[in-house]
Amino acid sequence: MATDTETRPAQPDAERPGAIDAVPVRHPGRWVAIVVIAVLVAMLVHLLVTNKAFDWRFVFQAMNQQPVINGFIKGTLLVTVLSMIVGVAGGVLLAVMRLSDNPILAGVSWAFTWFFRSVPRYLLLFTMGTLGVLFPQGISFGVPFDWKLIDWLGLSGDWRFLNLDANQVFTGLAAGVIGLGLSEAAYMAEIARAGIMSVDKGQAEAAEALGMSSGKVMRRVVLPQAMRVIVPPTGNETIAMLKDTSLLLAVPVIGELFYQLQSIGSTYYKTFPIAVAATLYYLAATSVLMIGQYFLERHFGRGFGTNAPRAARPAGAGGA
Amino acid sequence: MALVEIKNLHKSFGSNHVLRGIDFTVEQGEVVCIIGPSGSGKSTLLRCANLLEVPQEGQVFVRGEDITDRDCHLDAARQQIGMVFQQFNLFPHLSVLANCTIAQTTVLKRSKAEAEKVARANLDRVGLNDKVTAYPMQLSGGQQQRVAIARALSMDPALMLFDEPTSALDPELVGDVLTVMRKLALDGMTMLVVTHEMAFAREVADRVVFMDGGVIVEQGPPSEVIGNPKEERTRTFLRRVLDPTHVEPN
Repeated sequence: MATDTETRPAQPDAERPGAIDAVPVRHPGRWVAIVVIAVLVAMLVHLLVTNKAFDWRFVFQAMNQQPVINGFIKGTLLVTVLSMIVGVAGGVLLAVMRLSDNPILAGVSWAFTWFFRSVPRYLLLFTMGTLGVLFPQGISFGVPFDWKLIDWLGLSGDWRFLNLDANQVFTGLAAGVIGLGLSEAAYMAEIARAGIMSVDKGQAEAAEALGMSSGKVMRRVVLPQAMRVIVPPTGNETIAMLKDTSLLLAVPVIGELFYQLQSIGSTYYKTFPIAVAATLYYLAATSVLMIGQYFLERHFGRGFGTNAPRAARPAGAGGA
Repeated sequence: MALVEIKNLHKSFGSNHVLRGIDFTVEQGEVVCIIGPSGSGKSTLLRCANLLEVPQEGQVFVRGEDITDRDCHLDAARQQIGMVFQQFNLFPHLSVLANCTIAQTTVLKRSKAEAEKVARANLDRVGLNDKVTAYPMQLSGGQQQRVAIARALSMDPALMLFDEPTSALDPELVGDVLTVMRKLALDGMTMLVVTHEMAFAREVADRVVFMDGGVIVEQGPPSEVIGNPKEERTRTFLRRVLDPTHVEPN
């Protein structure tokens, strides 16, 4: 059965149409849009340069203050990193629990997610700062209900190996990290669950058939593939977390970027330049995170689609 | 003692009674092909042999050990049983070599060097020693299936299960996979193969099992079951498979 393309070269040259006098497609709308945008950008630049309210010298001075820099490093960057570690680890754990066959594990995971997704972060952080009230004797790690057991057995003393002062735990950066981390875990649980469910069932079956235990199947086969789906939204979550560190004020944490800048602003009655200074900090940090996200996505995307070197693909049949 | 012995196996998915009492053995070194119409339960039977499907009733013995028993160490039993899937199920995030070493290092606790040696030997066996660094998605379907065979062989299994290994392949790639399987059979591997490749079954199998409606209808040497079937159901099936243009007289 001859196709069209096969028969064409056989035709005499005379029957071929002449060369096409090609004219580029015109995009008048595009040119109008470019002009409009150019004018708007010019207006913005003019505003940034000439408007006295920006007070750029004050902006950079404020950004250079030691408490502000400390607030950025400890209150913003460190809290973001620690909260995301708590959030991602907790979220993956919650997702695995939620997908397990055990109804109690699944139920606990659902309840955790329900609670921490329902409470606003500002309120959650505020509550974290006050939780010390619940544990006037401090928080102890050891045998649960040990005083009852000791009483029953007629012994004395206690079975605890670590005592923490609750008012120190639920204060400052620690409270902030616990609050933001737990809240993040609830969101990450949903993201991780979607990632795990995106991995084909045949993958787990193949790994099980090789004799791998269910834990190994999850860690070595399912999760690495789920990461491809988990990483992009996690990047978003990290960027959101970076910005949510400005809520630490609710705990209250004062060693934090935005609070420090605000206090400078209110001292000098210059609130607008302070907003600009904070914006610049968050812009810079977010840009760095986006670069990191790119490399993470590339790492976990290996072996999938676009990143696979196409040249290595065999031309036809599977004969090697 | 039979390598695999299946006793009175029943399996239902909801109200769908897929296996209705299967009794079946595979001896050491035997190549058994299971044939039958789709929905006859042949893949389910295969998946029960390493408990990827848990039967409701009946027992599966591997080397005399009942793997349906709760106390049985299932992961250990599965190490002796290699499985090849219709959809290959290679691990796409791992290179060809890592696909063949991951279970060796994590399950058998072999050293990385030893695992790679075994993997390379088995990739050589399936004719893919030049693809060790490739990722599965860079390979054709036939190559992927051969990697899957090498991955299973790298665990030194006593039995290999093949679940319609060529059904997802383009017709021109089927031959390469069947060649590897034929070689494996000649090397004395015990194989249990669910297949639609009648020519392969006729040539390679020591025994052919015909299943229909969740039961074994007849079994025996290929010359009998395929060449001269006793049961009417077998005859009807073979007529349809061997001559797809044939119209049943009605």
